[in-house]
Amino acid sequence: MEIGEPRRTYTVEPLEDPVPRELPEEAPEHERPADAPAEPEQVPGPTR
Amino acid sequence: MPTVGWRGWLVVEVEGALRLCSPRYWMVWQPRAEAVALCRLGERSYWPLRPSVPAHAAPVEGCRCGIYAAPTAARAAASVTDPPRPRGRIVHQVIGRVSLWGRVVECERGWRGERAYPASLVLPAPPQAARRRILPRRRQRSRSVPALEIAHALSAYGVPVELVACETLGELAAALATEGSRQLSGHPAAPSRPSKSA
Repeated sequence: MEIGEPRRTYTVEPLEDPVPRELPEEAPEHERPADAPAEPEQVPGPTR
Repeated sequence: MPTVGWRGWLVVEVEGALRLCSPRYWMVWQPRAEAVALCRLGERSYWPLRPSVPAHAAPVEGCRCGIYAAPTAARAAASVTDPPRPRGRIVHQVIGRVSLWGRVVECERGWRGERAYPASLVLPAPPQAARRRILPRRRQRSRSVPALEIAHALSAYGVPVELVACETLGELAAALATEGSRQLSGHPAAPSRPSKSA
């Protein structure tokens, strides 16, 4: 490719990576700790 | 922001996969990894008239090394030719936008960069490319590859891949020239329109 004579030199440091790198694998879903509080039980309301 | 221009590639078959390849020096571009320029002036087979230039990191103004890009698709298309000694099967030719970063030498009609990666790819595909098959260049005994298969293979690069219904890179460049936003002058890439395939 003929692009002619040089004019100037500069340095480019892109803020975002121009290369779409491989996406990291998703971390396994966190398990609920054994001592995690259980869902509150629903208490039936007062009966008339 | 990287400098963005146009360049051309060969599509070659490497170990069973289709990859982009620089047409002049047979440098295969790996998916999801930037290409890094190397100056080959020290190699005896290159540039026999200037064998005494000291080794240097590419690119520098006093040499012609670096990864090339042009300001227009037409210039990029005109630059794509088969290498004199191909080291593999050439399947197709493509052009596309390329990002250059690191050290960049701006020249009268383009750029030479230290690091590069395609920003988008455009393939000329005969009408009804899904059914027609593109004959491999040079080695006609090899199996042909459908244009759609090439486009899907190039999607491994993780950039937009587009098929345009035309026969040659020259026709493709002419079609792209009608879209003014695609004629770049070293500015950052405009947002890509959705690819039609891959």
